[in-house]
Amino acid sequence: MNAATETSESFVAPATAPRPVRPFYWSVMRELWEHRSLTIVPLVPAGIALAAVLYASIFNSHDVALLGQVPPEKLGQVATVAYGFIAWAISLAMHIAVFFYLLDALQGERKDRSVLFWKSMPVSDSTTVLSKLFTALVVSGAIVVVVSVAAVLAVLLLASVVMLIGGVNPVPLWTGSQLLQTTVAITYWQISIALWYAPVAAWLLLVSSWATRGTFLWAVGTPIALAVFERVAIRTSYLQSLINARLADPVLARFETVTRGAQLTIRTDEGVKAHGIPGNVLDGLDPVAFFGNPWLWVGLVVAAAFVAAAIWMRRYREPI
Amino acid sequence: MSANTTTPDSAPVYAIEARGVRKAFGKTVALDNLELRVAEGRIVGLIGPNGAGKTTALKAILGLTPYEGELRVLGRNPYLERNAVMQEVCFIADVAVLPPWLKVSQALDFVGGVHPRFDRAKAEAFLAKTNIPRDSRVHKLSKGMITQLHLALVMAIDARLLVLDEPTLGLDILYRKAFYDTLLNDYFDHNRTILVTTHQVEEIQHVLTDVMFINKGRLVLDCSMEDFESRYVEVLVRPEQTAAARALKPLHERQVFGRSVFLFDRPDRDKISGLGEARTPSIADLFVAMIGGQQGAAA
Repeated sequence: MNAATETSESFVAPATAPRPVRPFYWSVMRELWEHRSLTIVPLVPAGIALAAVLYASIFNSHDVALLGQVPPEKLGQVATVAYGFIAWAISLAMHIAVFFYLLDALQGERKDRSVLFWKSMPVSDSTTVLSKLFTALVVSGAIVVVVSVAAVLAVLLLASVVMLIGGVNPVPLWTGSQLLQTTVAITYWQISIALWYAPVAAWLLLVSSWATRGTFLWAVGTPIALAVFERVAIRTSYLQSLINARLADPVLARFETVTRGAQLTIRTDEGVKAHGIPGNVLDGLDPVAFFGNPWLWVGLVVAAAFVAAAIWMRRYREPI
Repeated sequence: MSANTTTPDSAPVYAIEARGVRKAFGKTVALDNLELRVAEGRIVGLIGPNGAGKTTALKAILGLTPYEGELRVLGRNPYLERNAVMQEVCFIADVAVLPPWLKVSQALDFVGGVHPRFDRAKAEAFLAKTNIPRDSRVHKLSKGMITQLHLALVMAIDARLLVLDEPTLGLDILYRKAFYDTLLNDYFDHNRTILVTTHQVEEIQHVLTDVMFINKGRLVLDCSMEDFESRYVEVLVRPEQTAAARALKPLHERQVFGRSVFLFDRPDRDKISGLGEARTPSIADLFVAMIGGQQGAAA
């Protein structure tokens, strides 16, 4: 962003010609180094899923026998449901990690005074702030997709081995599942979540850019206080309905249509039921409605304003 | 950004040029029409008591804080053109500010990845002379090691202006001496400009080419070290001649072991030669003479 284009010619010849630089890339790397929770937290649900399958196959051989009773054409649906559920859990864990990451993103560097080091480097405030937003919205989504794919492959491989040992044919588990479609769906949901919740992320970044302490209280308390003020003083509740509409949005609800089936009865006396799954996972997606929703674009404009304010604060605020 | 950017033809003579720079926090005036010029290729010590405006001046120079008045750093407005200025300016701000989670290898990767004038081989060579493990994090390093790491990063940057704000605070004397020796021997090459503030004035006296005193937001002394030596004289006056010494309008008078030490600014060398033993004062002595009296604070 602020690459070497602006370097003025020095009359003191530099020892070496200026090298090409990638400030944005390395700023994102810095975020991942500093906030290891972003890479560790999503591994937790993946690990739990794997451990659960392992545990069940060792200590609950009854479950494996149950799988043998499932009609082969339904086995693939079990795999799809499991995939959706694992991805949902990983995504949820990542949202929590990103929430706290954003609250710390611009406050932490002021608290440990390292902002003075970062500012001694030729990386502009906009590059820094945008790299943080990018990490929260794009990198986190990419991590969710990659970890989900790895987790479901590991779980299915493990399940296949267990089934082979138990004398059940695992092939339908793979052939009948919608692994590819579900991966596309998960990627789409990560993108839509990033776009829909961009104003929330930008708000957290803004709070982090100016609050000296109590970022959580400021982030949550300010909208509540404003909504209460509006209700008492003006006797309307526009802000509250705006916030409600944003947070309780169909985006998350739609994400659950794939995962809902996972809460199904994996263990009943009749065996595994796998109902409630759409014939094709991708049928559950409606990009036209999503991108046609004017509130999406209103939210993005608000996000841009919050980010601009955060960039200004990064420039202006001093170490705590 | 600004129309008045530098071109090779109109390269600035001054690395830093401040004219009437003013900065106030509420009613407290931190910089009071500061006039300051630092020529390229100098090592300047900026000395002042606490609260004199040193840090504010450095922040303005580094584009970290807005100000009123005219300020040019390498020919540019440091606040409005900060991104361009930071390509050629580097700084170490007061105590160690390297983030505690940063690994040494990550520090090298990051600076190499964002700074067009960073020479990684140089930094590696400097680190090889220390005991800093490459894979340890900053919070595992001692304070001296953190400073060495920061210095290694900064010295490998081919910057035209290096600003050091209390770079050796909290270090023991061995590290402090090593710091300035390295700076002088391995870094300074007469093309670069270094601006340094410190409370340990005595230790950097031999390093500096110029000394500046700042007090109450104004520059009260701007003197090259050659001028300093020819201009200021300290005389250990014999008791019977104190009256004669006072008549020559000394800058300052103090008592040492019952004898009077007078500090003169551009005295008549013939007249003072009879008063007693004459010598060049230390920067600290001059600082106390000029500022200590009004301030009650020592350097």
